[in-house]
Amino acid sequence: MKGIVLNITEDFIIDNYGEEIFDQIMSSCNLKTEDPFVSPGTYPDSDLFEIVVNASKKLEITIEVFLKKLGHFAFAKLAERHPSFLEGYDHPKIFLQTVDSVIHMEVRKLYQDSQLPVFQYSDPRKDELIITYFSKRKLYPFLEGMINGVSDFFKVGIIQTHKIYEKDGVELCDYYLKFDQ
Amino acid sequence: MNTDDKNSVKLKKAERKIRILEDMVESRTRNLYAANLNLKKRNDSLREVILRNEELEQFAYVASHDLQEPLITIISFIDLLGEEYGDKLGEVGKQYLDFISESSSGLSSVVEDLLDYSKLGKHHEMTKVDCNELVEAIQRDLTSTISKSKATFAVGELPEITGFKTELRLLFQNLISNAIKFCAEDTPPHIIITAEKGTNWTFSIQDNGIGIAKGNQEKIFTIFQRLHSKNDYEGTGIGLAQCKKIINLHGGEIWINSKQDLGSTFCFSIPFYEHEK
Repeated sequence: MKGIVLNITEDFIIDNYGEEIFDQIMSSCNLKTEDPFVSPGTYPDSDLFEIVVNASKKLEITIEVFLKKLGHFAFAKLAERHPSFLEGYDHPKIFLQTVDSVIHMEVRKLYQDSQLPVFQYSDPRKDELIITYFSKRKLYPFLEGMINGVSDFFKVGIIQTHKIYEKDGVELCDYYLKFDQ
Repeated sequence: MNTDDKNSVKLKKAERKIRILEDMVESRTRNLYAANLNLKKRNDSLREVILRNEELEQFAYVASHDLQEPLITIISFIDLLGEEYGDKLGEVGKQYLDFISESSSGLSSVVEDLLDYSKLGKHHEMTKVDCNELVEAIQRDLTSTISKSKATFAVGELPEITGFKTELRLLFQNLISNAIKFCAEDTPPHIIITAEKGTNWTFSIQDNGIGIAKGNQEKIFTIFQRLHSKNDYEGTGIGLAQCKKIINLHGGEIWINSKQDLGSTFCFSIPFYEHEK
């Protein structure tokens, strides 16, 4: 897991629940990494999961709700940090379709050892989009939250439904998106 | 933990982060330096290859140019020999003379094509080229071949592009002539020419001819590479090599989508210029 995600997770907890709670959560975690996380660094996935599990316990919310809120927050943070990726798009559908071919390509340049999820797209109707998502980390609620962040950014409502299924022994998740306009 | 202690922990954490980041920057800089050196070496080798290529092209130009003169003399004197001494040569002698004449003409075509190939892009300037007009002019030039083969065309709206006019004409002419030439038996050629605007202009010339097997598709753009014998389909085998060179001159790419017996589609891309966007 890249450090940028862990840094965003730290910021999310501090910004929303305060430093006190953050310190309590972090001290309850049994992390493999001793050093502070830095964005270009690569860390064990288990460190993120450890923070997520302990945070959801402390905040008394489910892991799904925590990841969804985190995804929403993460998109806003990333949009703030990399505005150029969002320039030139006036609709979330067009932007979302660039994630695999444009944004992930750029991410690979910055973070060579990043393990990115795979997105495939189907375009059934003008106001709909299906994203088929594969990631060994299976952070489905995180992506759901990120899509909510996209919706906020473009000020276009997106109704999401999800279907997790197995194909050729691989677990996939379809995100059916319906856009307001 | 009081506020001072907390601030001290935060400060230490921030300092540690800076140190880790500095180490990462240093390591990445070292990697970039090594990659840069490697790139420089490759650049030098590439420059060397370009230089050798230019020398080879120059050699091909000089050789084909200098070969033309004696060849013309040989062909002229073979004709004269046939006209003036044909009767004295007898049947076998005449047959030998025909073989010499045929081979000399074949050699002359190869030398001429080679000369044309090395001249591509030299002493020409880029101009605006209306591809609709270009295709119409080629269709006029090929009237007799088109009517003989009963070829039909479907030509979409083609753009005006910036390029080497003579070379672009040769490119379209070679691809259209091939589409007519390599037609399936008893099936008149039908040729579809279209252009699509994307990040470049992408042209495609589709036919319903004999197609090209997957294993041969790499070879066809190589100079003097023939997939069929001269008896089946005439030509020197330089046409597609010319096409590739012309497209390279324009900074584009050329490729083929084809299946044996199911026709071929030759596609090529031509980059935009700022004013064409």
